[in-house]
Amino acid sequence: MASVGNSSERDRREASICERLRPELVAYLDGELDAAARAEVEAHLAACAACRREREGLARAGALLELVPPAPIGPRFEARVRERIARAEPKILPLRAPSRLPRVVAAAAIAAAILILGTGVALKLARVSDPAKGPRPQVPPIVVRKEPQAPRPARGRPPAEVFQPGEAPPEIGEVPPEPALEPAEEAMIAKLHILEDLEIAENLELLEAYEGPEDPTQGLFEEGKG
Amino acid sequence: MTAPAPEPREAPADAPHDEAQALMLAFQAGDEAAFDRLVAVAKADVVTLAYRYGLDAMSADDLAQETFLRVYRSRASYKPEARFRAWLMRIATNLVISEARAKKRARTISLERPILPKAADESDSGRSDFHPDPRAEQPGARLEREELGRLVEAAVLALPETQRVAILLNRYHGQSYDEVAVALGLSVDAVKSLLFRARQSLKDKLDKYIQENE
Repeated sequence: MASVGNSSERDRREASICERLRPELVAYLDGELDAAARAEVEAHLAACAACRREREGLARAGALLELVPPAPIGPRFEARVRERIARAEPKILPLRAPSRLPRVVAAAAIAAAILILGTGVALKLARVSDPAKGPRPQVPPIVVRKEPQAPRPARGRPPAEVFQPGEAPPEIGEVPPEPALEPAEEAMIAKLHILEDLEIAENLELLEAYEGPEDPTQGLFEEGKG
Repeated sequence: MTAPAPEPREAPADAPHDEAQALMLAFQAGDEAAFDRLVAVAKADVVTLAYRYGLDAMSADDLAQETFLRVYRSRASYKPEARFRAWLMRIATNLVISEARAKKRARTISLERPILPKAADESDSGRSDFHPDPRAEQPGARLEREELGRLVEAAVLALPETQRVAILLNRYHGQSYDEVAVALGLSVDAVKSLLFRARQSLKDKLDKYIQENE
């Protein structure tokens, strides 16, 4: 009876060790146990067939994990990552280090434009505010050329308008007065009006006799029919 | 007792890790081209994590791109004391879990396999005392590798979320228990327990397909 009791006690003790050490078996297989824990597990495995079977099963399950098929990777992955970054952070230039040359050129162009504009404005202000200051620079007159036109009655104006440098331009909205017409000019204009009226009348007659153009779409869709 | 053979690991050797880390440091120092090479070196890790976690191929690809966008933006926060691979996987893991929870786009694979190898006692001979020739092809070997891989994949996908991530990081991405603990915000003991339960669950689910290999 005592031996039965001892055996039962020993079984309970072994079962307790199994229960405590089995959770260590995967860490043991993975090489994650320190030396003392590893030695304890190995001593128990040497004496316990059930735990050895458990270890083998766990090891097989681990080996099976290598059979999982690989993941498919889509084409142009790196390029698509770059595109995503460019969309998320558009200020970042992709694929190469940004060149400093365009920035330098742009800065120089802006500086030159500011210098020219500033000089022009300063000169203009100087002349407008105090015309008595020193002699004006000798600048040739600016000639605004006009396109050649049909001969028309002279109205006493020069064929081209000449503005001298420094001359105040007419204010916006200010209309220069028309010069008075000579009697001969008025008679000529009256004749032109009569001719215009006659031409209009003739055109009206032609318009009344006009029957309209042929239908431009006529026949376009005939080929598709049938 | 014979010492257990070291288990095969899919994780690549240290060289790619070091290369990825060197590329990350170069990118951190301002070398934009290093980032492109880094993506080329590390993309498979991220896509594989997402895909094996259960995202479909398109979602896994999209998530991997998002991971590298985060890497790009967070380059200043990377510290060379941590392995780049572990840092990358931590970013990817957070995104994978969020994606799977939010969009429910996980793949599902049935563990029920229509074409199963017949066990010895189910063979056409009908003899209960039939014993296969040990020199003949074993039942486990008769499974096509791809088919068995799909079964294993299904078993992994059926694991609880945290167990799945832990086993993916440890088995497929070569992360130590310490690194998995950091990635998941758990203690090392908790990771040890997770990995044991995950492996035990896989063993129970897959045992009927592999028991003939004993």
